[in-house]
Amino acid sequence: MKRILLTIFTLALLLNAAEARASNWQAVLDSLRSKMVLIEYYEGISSPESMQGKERIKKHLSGFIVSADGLIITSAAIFRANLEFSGSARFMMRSRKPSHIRIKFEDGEYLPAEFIGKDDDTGLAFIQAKEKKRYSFVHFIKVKDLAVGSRVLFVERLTERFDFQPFMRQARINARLNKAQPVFLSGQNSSAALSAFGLALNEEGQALGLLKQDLSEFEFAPSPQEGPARLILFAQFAKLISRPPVFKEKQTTRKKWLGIYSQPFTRELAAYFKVPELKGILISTVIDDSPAQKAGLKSGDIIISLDGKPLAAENNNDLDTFRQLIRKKSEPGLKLRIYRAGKFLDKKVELGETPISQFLAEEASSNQLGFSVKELTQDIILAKQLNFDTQGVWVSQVERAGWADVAGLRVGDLIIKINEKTVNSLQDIKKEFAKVDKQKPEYVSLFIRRQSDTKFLFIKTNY
Amino acid sequence: MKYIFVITFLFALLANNLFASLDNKILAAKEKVFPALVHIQPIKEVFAAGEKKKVQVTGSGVIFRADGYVLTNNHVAEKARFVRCTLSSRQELEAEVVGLDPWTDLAVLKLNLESAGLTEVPFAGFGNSDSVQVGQRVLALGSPLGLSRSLSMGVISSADRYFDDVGEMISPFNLWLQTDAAINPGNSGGPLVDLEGRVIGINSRAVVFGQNLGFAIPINTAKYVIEQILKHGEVQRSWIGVNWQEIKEYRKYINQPALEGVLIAGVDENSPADRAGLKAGDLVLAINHRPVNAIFREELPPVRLLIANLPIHSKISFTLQNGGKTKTIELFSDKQGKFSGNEFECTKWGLSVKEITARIKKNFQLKSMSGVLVSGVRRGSPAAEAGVVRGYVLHKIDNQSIRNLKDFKERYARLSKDKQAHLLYLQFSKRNRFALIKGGEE
Repeated sequence: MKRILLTIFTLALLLNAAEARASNWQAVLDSLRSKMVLIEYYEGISSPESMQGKERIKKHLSGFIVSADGLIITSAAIFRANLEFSGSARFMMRSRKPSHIRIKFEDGEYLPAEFIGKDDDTGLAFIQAKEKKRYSFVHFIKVKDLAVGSRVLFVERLTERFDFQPFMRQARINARLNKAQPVFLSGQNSSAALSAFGLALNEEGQALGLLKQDLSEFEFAPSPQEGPARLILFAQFAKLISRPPVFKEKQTTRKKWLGIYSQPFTRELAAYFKVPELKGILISTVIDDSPAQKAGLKSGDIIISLDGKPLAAENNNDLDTFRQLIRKKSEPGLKLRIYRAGKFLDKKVELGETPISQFLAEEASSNQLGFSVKELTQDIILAKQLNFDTQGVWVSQVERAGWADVAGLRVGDLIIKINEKTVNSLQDIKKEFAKVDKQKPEYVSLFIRRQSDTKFLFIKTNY
Repeated sequence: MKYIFVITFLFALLANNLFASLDNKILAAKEKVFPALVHIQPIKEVFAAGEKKKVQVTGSGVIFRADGYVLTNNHVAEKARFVRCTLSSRQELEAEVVGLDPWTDLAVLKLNLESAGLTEVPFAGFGNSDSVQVGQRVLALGSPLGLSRSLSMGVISSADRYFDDVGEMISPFNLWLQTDAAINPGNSGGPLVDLEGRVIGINSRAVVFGQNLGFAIPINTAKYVIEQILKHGEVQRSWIGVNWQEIKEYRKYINQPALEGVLIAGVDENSPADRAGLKAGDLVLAINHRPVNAIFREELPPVRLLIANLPIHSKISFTLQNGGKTKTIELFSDKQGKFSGNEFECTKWGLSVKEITARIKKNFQLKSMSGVLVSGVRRGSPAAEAGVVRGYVLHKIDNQSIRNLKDFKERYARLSKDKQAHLLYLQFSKRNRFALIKGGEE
């Protein structure tokens, strides 16, 4: 009899607990209301053909307040440009900083905010509420790891059609990637969610981290690519909250850089080189004038340890771990152990700063002539196969049907001379632009390089 | 009243005669060229996605010599292994390729008369394309879309049409005859004929999204090409490495509206022009002491031909002006390199490679001509699995450099037979890549 009562009692307790958990959702949401905002901003439309730059579209993202003075964390999709050198230049992309940012609270109140910066590695960006007051913010708890199967709660937002209402759901961790920097995947996605950026909580309603869905590579994709959503634990972005990455044109915080392209040193390669036990990263390319070249690294070297920590890579994903180890280094000094032609060598490397990409390069324009130029950056130099120390400018924008367009100038052209003056820097061409604006000549001559040929272009003006 | 009747009758008779005259002319012209018209069906060996494949194409041609020489387009005859020709008498013959000239898009074939039991065949006469006039009537004969022995009629729409080189469609030496006679795929290589029954052009191109925009190579250009091919099997041209530009805008820029000459837009690295000191921006006033002038784009082909048609290694003098100073520079020309290099299929590894010509070196901005270019990779092949990608230059196998295609073929012949893994070292732009071709059983 006692046993039966005990069983009934336990069952009742359990049922109660389950019910309690259900009503917990409402409590969780209520406690978050003042800490989550809807970010409204304007994204400048990419157009290499228009100098005016007035086209823009209104966009929305979900954001969460993470500090008392109003620092808000959101997806890096707010500013799509790839700010650091990544070895693949896309000249056609133009991306402007988000403008006219406003944050909307649950009660309908709008406040202005400004863009602080972003971190491309985690895919997170930061904005700052402009009004100085005390904000309630999300307190994250530090969880080291999550087991596959753990239950989590996600707080996201619905799309405009549903007034961006908060949206909560329960999910379980379906997979765990990457041992060094764990990333957790949850297979069920809701395509109804807004930009798939949300907050991840444990069953007790405590914030564990953020939920992100990988965005499509293509700028004009109507909705994010369907794929498992990733949960990033607080430990991976805690440092960013205490010291947010600041975007300030030329002074943006940049990560450390080695200057190599690498490939996984697979078991088959190890067998080929007759060192079946060896594991590491195979250097395929050493970029000219990079820290790697200065340290004496060569194409074909196999990096087996970094600061004593052994490395291994069987596929391309494994290379990411190595890249992150380099990028996150706080000091520039590094020790690499490499294997070359049967010998093990220790190399001391002085890491440099990742070169800026063309998005951070300074630009100069001549509105009259109808074109803009940017200073050469490493990504463009590599794409055009120029010598690493080439100095000069390339055409980043040509106004459609403007004087330069009619003369045949195209985006991507390298300007060697303008009015017979050699152009080695942005300063040089700015001087010439000023002269042209003053003198108003009938013709302006350009000597350009387009792919492997050079030619002269003569812009007919019409002042 | 009687006079009015007589006059009207005479007028009607005259008018009738005129129209009949034009009809007769057309028929007479057709009679002269028709027997020389050839329907060509080459079976080509092309490389696609790393594999050698056979494809049959259709084109046209015209016999220009009694012993069976046929003129057609390069893009009809190139890469052909086997060429079947059908004469307008419906007799079928085999032909072999005598010579190709991709620079003008012309080719010469020779019909195998003996095997058909013939000693000679009817041939067409050439006219003078320099005296062709815009507006004159012309006939186009050929096999549009495979419909052999077809004739279409139109006029000359333009006698000096110029096209810039775009990718593989090049024509630096051609000033095209534009016609509204219907030119369709299949007409390529066929004759464009005037009302006297003389061939004045070879139909080669058409703008597909327009209407009645066909283009033929002037026969005078073909005359030189034929002469060269019959003598040397190819057209031997001089090359100095200069890219020319017309001076239409340049002379407005420097405010000398009556200026004559031709501008150097660029000089190829390590070319005869580069070594002699010719530079971009030099204005060339005379070549071999003969004044040259190119104000408009259409005047560039004659300048290029002036140099190209000189014997290889001839001394050429350039009188040029730069920044107010005039000077003369002399140089010796080189031989123009191949348009397209030889290709080779590696069946076992599943890729195709191409020899690196001077053109490829320039377009890909390579440092040297060593190695071979990967022109295709077969899906699912060992090369594909190893990560070999089209467009890369293969520099080393098993850490040993590859000098050229011949060197590669020798090594591949040996290496593809053994069951071992082989490490390829490739390069694209400034990036290197290791690719391991796995060994073992197939």
